[in-house]
Amino acid sequence: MKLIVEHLSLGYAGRHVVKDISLEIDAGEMVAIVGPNGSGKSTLLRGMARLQKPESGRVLLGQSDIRSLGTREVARLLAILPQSPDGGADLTVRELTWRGRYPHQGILQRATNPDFEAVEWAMNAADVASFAERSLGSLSGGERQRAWIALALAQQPKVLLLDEPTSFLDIAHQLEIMMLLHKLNREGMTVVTVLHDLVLAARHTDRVIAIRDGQVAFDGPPREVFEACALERVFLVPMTILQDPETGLPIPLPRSPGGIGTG
Amino acid sequence: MAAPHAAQSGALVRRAARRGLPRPVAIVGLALLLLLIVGFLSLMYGAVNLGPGEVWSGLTSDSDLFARNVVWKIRYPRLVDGMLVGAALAVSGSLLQGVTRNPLADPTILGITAAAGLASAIIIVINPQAPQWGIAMTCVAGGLVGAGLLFIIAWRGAVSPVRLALAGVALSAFFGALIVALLSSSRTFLQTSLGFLAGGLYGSEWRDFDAAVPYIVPGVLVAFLLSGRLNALALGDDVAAGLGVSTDRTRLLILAVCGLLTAAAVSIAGLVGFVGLVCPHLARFSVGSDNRYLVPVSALYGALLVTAADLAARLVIAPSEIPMGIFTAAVGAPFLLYLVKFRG
Amino acid sequence: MKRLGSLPLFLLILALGSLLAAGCSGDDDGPSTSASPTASNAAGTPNVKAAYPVTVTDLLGRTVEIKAKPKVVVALSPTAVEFVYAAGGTIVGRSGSVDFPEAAKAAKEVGTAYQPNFEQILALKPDLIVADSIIHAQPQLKKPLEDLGVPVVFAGADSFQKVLDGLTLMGRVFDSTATTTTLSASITKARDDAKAAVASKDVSAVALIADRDQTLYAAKPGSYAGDVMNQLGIKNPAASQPDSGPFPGYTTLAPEKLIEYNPDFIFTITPAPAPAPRLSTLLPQIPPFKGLKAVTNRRVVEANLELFLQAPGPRIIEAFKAITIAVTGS
Repeated sequence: MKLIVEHLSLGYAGRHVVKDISLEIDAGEMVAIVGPNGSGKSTLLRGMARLQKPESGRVLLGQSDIRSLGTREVARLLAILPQSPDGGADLTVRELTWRGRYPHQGILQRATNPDFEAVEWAMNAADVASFAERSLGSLSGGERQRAWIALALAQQPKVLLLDEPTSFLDIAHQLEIMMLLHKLNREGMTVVTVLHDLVLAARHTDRVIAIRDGQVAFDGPPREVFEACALERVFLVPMTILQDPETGLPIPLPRSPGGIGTG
Repeated sequence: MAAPHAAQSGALVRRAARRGLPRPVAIVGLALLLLLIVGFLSLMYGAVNLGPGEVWSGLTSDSDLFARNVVWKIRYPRLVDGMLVGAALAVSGSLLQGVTRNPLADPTILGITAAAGLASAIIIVINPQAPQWGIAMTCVAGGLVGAGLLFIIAWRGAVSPVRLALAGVALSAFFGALIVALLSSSRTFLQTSLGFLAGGLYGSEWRDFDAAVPYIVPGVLVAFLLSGRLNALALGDDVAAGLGVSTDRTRLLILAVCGLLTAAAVSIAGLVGFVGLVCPHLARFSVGSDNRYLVPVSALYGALLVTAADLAARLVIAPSEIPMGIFTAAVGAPFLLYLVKFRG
Repeated sequence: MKRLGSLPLFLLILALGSLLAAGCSGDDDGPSTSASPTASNAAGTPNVKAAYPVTVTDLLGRTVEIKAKPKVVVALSPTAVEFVYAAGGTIVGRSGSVDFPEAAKAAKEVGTAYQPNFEQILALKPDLIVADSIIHAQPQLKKPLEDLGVPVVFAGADSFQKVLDGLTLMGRVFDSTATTTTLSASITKARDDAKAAVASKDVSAVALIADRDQTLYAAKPGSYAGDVMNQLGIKNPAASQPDSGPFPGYTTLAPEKLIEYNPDFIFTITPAPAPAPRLSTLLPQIPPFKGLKAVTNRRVVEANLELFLQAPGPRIIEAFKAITIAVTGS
């Protein structure tokens, strides 16, 4: 299912944060959105998930404007995991995952077999089944993030949007989350994730969209678009690009202007 | 909290747990039984004590005129009124705690009780002979205005539980001051206003019930229907919106239901405090935080608490009465202290 | 969000609308307290000997049928108790703090006047309840009383005329019109005598209550104490003040106002029971009041709490006497 952004502008209280962005994300793509703080990348993601009303332009999910669809209908096709959600500390992982069935359940309807199956699948896919009965508050950061991903997966979305799912996690847990997203993507899910870490973006995604001042600075496969001068224009720091000796993928690094450590 | 563990061992409960649902059955059964017992006790005991047989004949026949009058005209309507008040306040409290994601929210703290009470005081001062349905309607209008103000002042657009609590406390103090001002300057001030300010069921009758039921029954039903959305809202606004909940509309709806329920309770019993605060917490201990269970179980606990408090209120200094709200506060305030100290 | 925009406003309007509606429609079942006297007077012509059943109109304007002479009576205020005894009846149940007549003290207490206990009332199996038309006029008390399935008449007094009306009513209820007519005549005579003695002195006076915060309230002619003074032709400088404060018929009296009025007499009423100090001893000690005429002339007089505030009723004769003695010295 295609996700198409058409001339989208978003803002808060008169401040324009996303300015006339157009993109097209194909079914099955794995996309990273990068950019400096305040560039509008999170706002763009929220706009794509109808969490923020556009000032102009629109977002199409398949053929239809996302705002013309019922919000529950959207939730059955598209899931978004906001940055560091803080609710539900007293819920068990299983209870949290069940809440992802909300858009599929009628107002008085009891849980159906597809609900049970979806929850089991989501917990297995996110690899949280082994601690399903533990409460969210008792989990480590990485486990908790996977539990939230299980919630999103229980929606059985075609498109999964995530806002910095790896922030505040150590390297091992970052890797774990990225591998999980990779696996979901291989199984056919469209994944769009805002990422801070350019190395993760380069290594784990097929396409990187860089946002600067609410506009697209560059857009393409990391191998092609991660060039020093392009990244410097986005992040306003001198950059250097190394090459991963194993995969040949680019590894962008900021250069220390004063030559720290080089004498 | 031994009951939840006992419940957990049941096969039914285990099955429920496997399905991702909390373990409600035994505790709810126990509470229902307790409500039945306390309810029956409150039909038996009072300024005049009746035997179980007399209560039964009073409930079912005209053969014993005295028992009939005491049970059917005085105690039974008062019992039912009390259960209604307790359920309405507790549901209102559980909705507010859910929607604000704040364990200290309740209709009193957020000023909805005071708004309804002010409306009630106004109508009683303007027209001391106002019929009960008029008082109930005015209370509901006041409660809705209070809830609407809360929404407009603290909540529209950006969500901030702190702002909400501050606005609630301010509204509560403001309306409370107006109530006292009105009552102390009014011609109709009587000792009965103590019962109104502290909350009590003295003189509650079927007409109080008739006037409040049209608000409370739909209010509670809508509350049950909203519990799924409340579950989503508990995860935070963005997550809820992502799950397909219209957050602002849901919040407004929930606040309106709270206004309705609280006001209808105020029209019967005046400014009863703490029921809406305590009962949702008790319910959370029993059945977890799934609002589909929390809301109805809170209602049950509310009915139980008010029934027990009213029995105590009638017995302690019989034949006089202490306002029932004193007893709900006497249970509620220490509980609040416990929450503050041990549960943050 | 746009759809949502007008909803709170709409709710507000709806709420205000229904507030007004309820306010306007509320008076359909409320007989006002002023509706009664003529009705009961007309019905209670002294010479007509009433045989039971008798239909009376009480001081709230309600029509009540009394099937037989009431024998088991519960009276719910000091005034109601005194009315019953004045008409030759007796009671088995009464409200708290009833000290008169002596015989009434033995009756069972059934809650306070402001919070009668319905169950205990029923437990006495009364054939008549006498409630207070002043205290129990609110629907919150009146309706439960009416619903007890026992005939209830409302009689109370906040004026000289209401005392006479109450007596007339009770005479009909207890079939003792001769007794009550005689009593009414002597009350009227006591009023006339006292007026003759007091009016010539041309004095001004205020009657004061103080609450716990020592806020002063002055009786206006709409209150019982105010009417007692008014009946005797005593000038009441507080009469024209608006009603304010919690006591019906009283007005909040700022100390400056009392100094401005500087009345010849100050009658004080102290609701708090002894050993709480009497207002008549407190008032002269308050510095701004030391120069008042009434204080320097030692004309601050403690008025009996029951006679002037708690138990308006047939003992109004004693109230008239007390004032006469204070003003004329005899």
